[in-house]
Amino acid sequence: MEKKPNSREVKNRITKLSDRLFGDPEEVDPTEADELLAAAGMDTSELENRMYSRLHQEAQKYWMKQEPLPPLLKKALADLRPATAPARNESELAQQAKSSVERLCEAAKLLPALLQGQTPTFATAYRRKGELTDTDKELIEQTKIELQKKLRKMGDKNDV
Amino acid sequence: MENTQREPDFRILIRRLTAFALRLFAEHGLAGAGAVLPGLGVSAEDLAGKVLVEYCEGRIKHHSSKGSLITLLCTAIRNDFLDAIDRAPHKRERVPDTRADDGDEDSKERDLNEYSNPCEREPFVVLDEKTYQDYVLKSLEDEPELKEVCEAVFFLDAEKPSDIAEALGIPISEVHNRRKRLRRRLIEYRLVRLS
Repeated sequence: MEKKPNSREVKNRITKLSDRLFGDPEEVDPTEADELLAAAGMDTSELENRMYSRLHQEAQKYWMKQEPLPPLLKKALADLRPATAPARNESELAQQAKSSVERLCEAAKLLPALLQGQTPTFATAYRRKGELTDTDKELIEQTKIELQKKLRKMGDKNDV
Repeated sequence: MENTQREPDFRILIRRLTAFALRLFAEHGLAGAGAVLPGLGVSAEDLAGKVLVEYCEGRIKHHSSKGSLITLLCTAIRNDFLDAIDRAPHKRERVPDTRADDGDEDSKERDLNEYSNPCEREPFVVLDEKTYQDYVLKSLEDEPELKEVCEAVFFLDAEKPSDIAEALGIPISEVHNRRKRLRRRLIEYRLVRLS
């Protein structure tokens, strides 16, 4: 008579089936991992922040005992350190500045999409109010045309 | 001999580990980022975090000669998950028994495995192999390409992507592509769905 498999054996069999179906964990590259997390409704930057807190809590045990941090824990804390945390040195400050500029550039790329095909209207503002000369008006008109061209180009790129 | 290896990028590592833990949860009918093991309150993120801490503190050691770091840590997550299932107080629970015919026995204790229809169960059960296969195939009625992959694994015993490719007469790259779609479907809770 065939022996009924125990719970552990059943789990092992399902584990095997699972790996054959969904592949080895190595198959999931970082991009796909991000997509999967998003599909499950998880925000990756919030996940990183929570993990940082978890590791920070572990690190406190070492600090309390005045023991050095294990190298991997130190590296993990450095990697996951939130961008909003105050910079501790020049390289962190530079990194934070770079991230801020990158975020601004990303936001600027969204501008054409926000316009949704509408022609933007431009307004002028000056530090010193006074009569505009014809040269000023021509310069403003030129700038307006250039900006409109740029926005159209960005919009075309986004459509591709 | 000293085993020298590159330190991982922890931002990437934690994402991949959490994605794997979510896969385990989804396979057992626990969907979404907020899902926890009933009775234990442990989430996919908790499991990934625990293993990450163990690795950072040197309690899990990685030697590159014994495979990749991600495989080692995902195996640890899977073992913790299976242990957690054993600890979870789900195996016996009090549920209304519709078979009760007398007295006040409307709340008899029944083993979850007694249910003839697995969908009657709470969405957290240890599946047997056959039930697992049934769920997967049934949920892929609308995806014949993905169903084919599963049938090759279940019935033709195809183990590696090359076996699946040979069985289905498709390129290996297509097998990887279909597996990717399967993973996405699983995490979106559209594959092993118990209720």
